[in-house]
Amino acid sequence: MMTEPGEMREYSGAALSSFVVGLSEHQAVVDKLLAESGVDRIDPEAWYELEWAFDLFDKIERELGRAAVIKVGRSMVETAVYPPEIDSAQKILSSVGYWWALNARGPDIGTMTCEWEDEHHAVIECTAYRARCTLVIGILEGACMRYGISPLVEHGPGSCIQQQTGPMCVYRVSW
Amino acid sequence: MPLFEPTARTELLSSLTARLAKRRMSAFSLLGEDVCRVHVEAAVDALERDSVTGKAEAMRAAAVAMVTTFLPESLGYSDLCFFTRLLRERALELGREDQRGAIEQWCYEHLAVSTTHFMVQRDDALQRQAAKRDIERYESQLAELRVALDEKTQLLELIREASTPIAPVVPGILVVPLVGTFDRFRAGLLTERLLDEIAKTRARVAILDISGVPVFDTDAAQLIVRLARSVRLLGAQVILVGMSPHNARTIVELGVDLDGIVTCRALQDGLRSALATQRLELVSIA
Repeated sequence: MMTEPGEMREYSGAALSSFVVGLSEHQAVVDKLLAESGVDRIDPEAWYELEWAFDLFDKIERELGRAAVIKVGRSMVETAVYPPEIDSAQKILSSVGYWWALNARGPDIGTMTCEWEDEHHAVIECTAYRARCTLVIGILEGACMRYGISPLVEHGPGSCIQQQTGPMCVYRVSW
Repeated sequence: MPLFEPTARTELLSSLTARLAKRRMSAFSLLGEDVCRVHVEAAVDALERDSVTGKAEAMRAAAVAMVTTFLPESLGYSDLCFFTRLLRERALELGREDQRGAIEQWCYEHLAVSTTHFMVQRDDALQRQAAKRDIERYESQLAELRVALDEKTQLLELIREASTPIAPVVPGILVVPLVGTFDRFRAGLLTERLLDEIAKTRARVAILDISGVPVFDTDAAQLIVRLARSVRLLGAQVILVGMSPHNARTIVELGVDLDGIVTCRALQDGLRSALATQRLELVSIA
């Protein structure tokens, strides 16, 4: 639900809106899920309760499957407007932490960091609150695909926020 | 002359092992330093041996063993690259200057072999997963079919019970009303149940009411004749009631022989006839 600025965790309407737009081919399902969640449409200017927003992601994933959410994650990054200085897969992956900081706010919201093992191997460490791996993998793939690169994104073993097996996810991006 | 001086070799082994074991959330860190050391030593040994022979034979076994060990712990392609990249960097730094080209070539082939083995294993795992899913799907379909079969069997049993009602109206007299098509299947069911019931109740007469059978053709008549013969073998008799004029005409035209079977027009007549055989009769109370 829409919120006023405060001490709660919030997720940006703009990011949520681009997620919903990315699901346009499943509009009927999305409309139904939005209605069930108590809203008619997403206001890109507003902020929403993060728990509510991620419950919606989970419902969509359950309804449409992993592949659909990964595809939306890709399209979110491929179609997003970035400043002109972001002009390569390396730069966009390096800025993934800013992406999270711009789209989520509130206490203990977590971080996403990017380190480079070499120019074709990045390690993304994610402690983002309630991170959804399917969406993050889609976003990382989309970040590379935006510059014509088809990457391999691997989830490190041992800990996963979505699977609730640990407080962190590590993604290794190679191409 | 060895590829690495003893101190350089020790440094190579310990630095590689430490870096691998510290790689956060990876197959290497999950299996720990001791296992990492075994595979680092195997790789360095192979590199040294191959640098002597000029072939990359020892490398193959080391690469395959490494992939086989770490793959169950979710080894990734990026882990393979990490392993080979570290080995290459440190071996170039600590190895003999004149062997740099050979080290580069060896590492290149190490990555190629380990990646190929990794892909083969991954492909195999995917195929096993797919086969497992297929089996699960078939098992679930089989379970559904079993449930459907059970339901159908229960339904058939219900139909069987309902389609051959046998009413013991008076001791020694059974009434069997037949409704609907009387075919070979129903005749079989009826014969089996009626003979059982006659034996069980020691009935002397079975009244077959065929007024509810729309078409009484040669086949149906033959089946009744056969049923009557079987009943007679148990010492009872069949009285056929409810024959419509149309059915009577058909039986005569078809030349079916109903000799030996008592026929009555209505159930009441049949019952009266049956009671007579028991030396009983229907009387009005008033």
